[in-house]
Amino acid sequence: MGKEEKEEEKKEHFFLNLLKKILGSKAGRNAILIIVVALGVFYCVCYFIPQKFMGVPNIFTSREGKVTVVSESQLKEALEINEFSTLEASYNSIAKIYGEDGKYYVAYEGTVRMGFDPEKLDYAIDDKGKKIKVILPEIEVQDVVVDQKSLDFIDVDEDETIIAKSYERCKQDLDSKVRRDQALKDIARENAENFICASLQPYEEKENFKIIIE
Amino acid sequence: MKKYKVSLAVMFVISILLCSCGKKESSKDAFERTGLQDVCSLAVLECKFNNVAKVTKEKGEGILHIGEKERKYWIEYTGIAKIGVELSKEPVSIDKDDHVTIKMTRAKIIGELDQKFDENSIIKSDDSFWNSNKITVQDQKKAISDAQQKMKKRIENNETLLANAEKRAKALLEKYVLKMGKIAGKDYTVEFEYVDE
Repeated sequence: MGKEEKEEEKKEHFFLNLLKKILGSKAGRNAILIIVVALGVFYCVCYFIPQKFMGVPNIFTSREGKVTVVSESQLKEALEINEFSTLEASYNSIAKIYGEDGKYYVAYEGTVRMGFDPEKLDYAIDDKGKKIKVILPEIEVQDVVVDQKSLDFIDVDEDETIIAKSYERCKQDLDSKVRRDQALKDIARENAENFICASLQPYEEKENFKIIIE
Repeated sequence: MKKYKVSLAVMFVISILLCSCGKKESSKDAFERTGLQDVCSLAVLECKFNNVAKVTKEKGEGILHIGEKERKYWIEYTGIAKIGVELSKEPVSIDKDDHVTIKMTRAKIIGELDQKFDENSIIKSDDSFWNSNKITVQDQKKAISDAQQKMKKRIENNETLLANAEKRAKALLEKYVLKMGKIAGKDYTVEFEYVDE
């Protein structure tokens, strides 16, 4: 038992004894001094001497390669649409994406626009009561856009196609979450009704009509 | 005494793991609305652009970048923008002579610029075997952002496109006014007044 205890003590004090031996000898003290001085010189060279000294690059500093971007843009097609928007909302969210190597997470910011198709507005008139019934079509999600600059990744190797791979999935994620937000649709509908009231108010006043929105 | 310390340490680690499991679940479902804005806009044209962003990344300098080589990275994608007009909160006024005035802005880009990617439309040069000079996420974002800004400028300088959008918006709004006139049994004339945003 005594021997085992002594061996354990020896192991515990190994590094302490080693340090004592190094500091105890002249060669050891000189070696430590040289290491400390070399680290100090290295630090000074890295941080105080400029990137290029007398035209010669400083190899102890580190600088990423310069990035230049040249872009071209060509109109492909212009489609006719009818989208009257009454609400714009911005969101922060996190999408869980299943890739080839497993799942990963993407944090993003996005914007959604909601409104209706003005071509689908319908009117019914009651001449006797001088009432105009405006039938408002259903409020739709018209635009779902994710800010690609906001994409932030976790649990994934950020390869050179990561943005292209993840962007569309984030859009789908935002689209599905927004469609479940009934409160947003209600606000968009209320705004639509307010706009129609405001745009028809001159008719109400001039022609003495009453406008009802359904 | 030693076994007791070890079992205490194990129990401590297990309790930390159990706590952190719960936290991860709540952060996965984060969905937060950060802003809400009433808008009053009519989008009449959806424009699709073929955009190509070309990135050249030089090899880095310093001891950590020895062995790198210059990289080229091209990404081709579809940029999407909607063009239309914005209407004022009280967009319609009618005078005694049945002249209807609609207040709206000039044609402009409505909402945010969008993009559609195809990961097969990315072309990149080979990387060095000795030291990687990766096209980082920041580089990719910069390239796409640059291309989007260029697309935006193209639209803003395309007078034909903007004029067509304005003409279409006016036609739709006029149709709306004349429909109301028909209901009221009146023959309205429509004018447009341009307002700032």
